Amino acid sequence: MIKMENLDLSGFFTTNVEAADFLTRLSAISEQIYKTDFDLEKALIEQLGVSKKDRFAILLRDNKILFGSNSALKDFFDKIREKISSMPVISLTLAFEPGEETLKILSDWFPLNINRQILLDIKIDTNLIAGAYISFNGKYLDSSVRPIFDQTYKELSAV
Amino acid sequence: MPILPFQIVNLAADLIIFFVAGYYFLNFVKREKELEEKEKQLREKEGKIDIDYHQVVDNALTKEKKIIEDATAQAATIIAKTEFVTQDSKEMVNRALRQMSFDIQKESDDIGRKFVGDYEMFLNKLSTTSLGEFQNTTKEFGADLEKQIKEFRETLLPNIEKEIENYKLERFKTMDKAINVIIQKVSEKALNKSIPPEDHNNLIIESLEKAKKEGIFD
Repeated sequence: MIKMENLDLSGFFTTNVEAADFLTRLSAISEQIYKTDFDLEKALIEQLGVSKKDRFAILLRDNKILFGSNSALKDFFDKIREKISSMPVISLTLAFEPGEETLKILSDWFPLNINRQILLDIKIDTNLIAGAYISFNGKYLDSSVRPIFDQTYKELSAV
Repeated sequence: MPILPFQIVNLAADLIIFFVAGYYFLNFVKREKELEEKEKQLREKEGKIDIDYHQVVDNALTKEKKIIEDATAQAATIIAKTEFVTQDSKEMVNRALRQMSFDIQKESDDIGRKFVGDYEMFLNKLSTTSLGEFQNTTKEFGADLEKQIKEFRETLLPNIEKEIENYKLERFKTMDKAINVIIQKVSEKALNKSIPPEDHNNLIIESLEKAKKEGIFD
């Protein structure tokens, strides 16, 4: 029996868009499972790339899924799908398009600081200037530079 | 040889020739005379004919001369009469023309005087009427214009001035806003771009830390 808490998917995606792409690729592999010439390693490389194939192989090993057991593999894929759909989504508005480095910092920060994996719904608004606008479960925080800028500008304009 | 017979024969021959020649000579003379006689007769006849001819020609010439003289006389008479008539006619026509000219001149003078008089009267009437009307219209127009100017100064002008002032203020406000927006946008862009990626990342992490402290993720 696979436990949901043991499924650490942090290395595969950070945002909800990446998670959707990951699910699409898993579905493509899942469709090939019962084919006679199915080769899991080859399919993982084709769909996820070498780096993520290795990570996925570790994930299979940690969850005690045998490479030859097609039915167990299919159940594992279903569990991953279930896990992703149950992940909390945090809306994060940034002042710029985040690069790989920024996404890595974000994906590392959440497991370390709130002890759970989340999906980020990233939006871009250059009016924020810098910082971030965070929204989660109906709560929000405007921690951008925008309010500071507006206040400063207002003070300067009054002079 | 006997000479005598020969001489006789010779003499006889000469006599014959002589007689024959004499006969022909007489015959010739006779004919000559007849010819002369005929010639004389012919000349006489010719002379008579010539006389008749001259007489006829003279008569004809006389008649012709008379006819020409008569014609000349008649022509002279006709010409004289014609000249008289022509002269008379000329004088008559001249008289008629002079009279006609005089009449026309007189009539034109009369008509001209009448026309000038009528026109002068018409102009006087017209100028009097038009001037009066024009003065009236001008007065009305002037009064109306003055009234309008007065109204404009009293009511419209202050309103327009006020509207212009409001418009100016509104425009200044709009311009101020536009300028502020421009400055703001430029500042934002400049500030956004001037922040290094590391600082951006740090600011994001600070934001997440703050959200964590405020319990956003609970």
